[in-house]
Amino acid sequence: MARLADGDPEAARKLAACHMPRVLATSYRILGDHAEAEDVTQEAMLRLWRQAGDWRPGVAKVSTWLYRVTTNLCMDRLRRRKRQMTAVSDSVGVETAAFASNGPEPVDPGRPVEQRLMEADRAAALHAALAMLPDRCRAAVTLRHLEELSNPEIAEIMETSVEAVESLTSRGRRMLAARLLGKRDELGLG
Amino acid sequence: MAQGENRDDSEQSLELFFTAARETNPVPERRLLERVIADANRVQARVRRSRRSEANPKPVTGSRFVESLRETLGGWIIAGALAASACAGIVVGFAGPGFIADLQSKVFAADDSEFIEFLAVPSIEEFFPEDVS
Repeated sequence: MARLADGDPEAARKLAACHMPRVLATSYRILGDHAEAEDVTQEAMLRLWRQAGDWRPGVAKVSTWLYRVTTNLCMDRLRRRKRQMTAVSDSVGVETAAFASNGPEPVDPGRPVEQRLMEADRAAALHAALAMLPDRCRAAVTLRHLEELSNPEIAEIMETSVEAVESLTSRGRRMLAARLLGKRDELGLG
Repeated sequence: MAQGENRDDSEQSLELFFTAARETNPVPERRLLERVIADANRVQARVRRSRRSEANPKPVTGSRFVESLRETLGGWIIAGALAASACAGIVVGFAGPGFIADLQSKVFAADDSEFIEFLAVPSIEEFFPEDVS
């Protein structure tokens, strides 16, 4: 960050390479829309560039700071989206369709095609089920089970207590289980 | 017991969904990286410009002098009020306290004296008990 603040153009490239994939993945999982996730990623990174001059080392980790900005930007978009939607069922339909239509590609193309397809189906089913969760629940589950952050880290990112995070994630897991476990057979988990 | 086993089973299945989702991360496309780096370059260029102007401040001349004076004083309205009070001070300084008494009697006609008393506006003589002239 200090090198970035000193105007080193290579520092920006390195920071982007290091943090951008995580920001994009988090925003995609919370929003369920690739184009919107890209916009959020660009905005979060822009805020990081602007922050570089005032960055105090040791006060916050860049990754934690970025997760917080990303989560807040996603929450803003979800709120805006809800205002625009006239019916809840419409919103669920759109989000589920978004996950199905422009979902991410598997990272490791070296695995057998059948396994990749099965994993892509499971991932799509999970993302569709995630889209049905309440916003904060969805964010907490994403950060806990997909980004694999600790509860205290999530509490810091979401500016809440560890107990609240535990409650959000366990509620989210219950809701996901209720939606997904009926599809075990068709997704090769029977 | 059976309920516990069911819960373990469903937890395991859920974990397989999470694993599959973790394996399918979206990969940032080149054009997104280019947009992000372009933003960084713009911000850095702006920072460099402001640092240069801080390091080499332009001499304060002409309209820049007026502008910086205006900024220091806090705007034209405050600057105007300040100038008016300064002028009033100079006038009182030259004319002496008798001028104020004259002015008071001219501005507030005899009919208004009750109103002045009502407002409890003190006479200027109260501030100057001795004849200073």
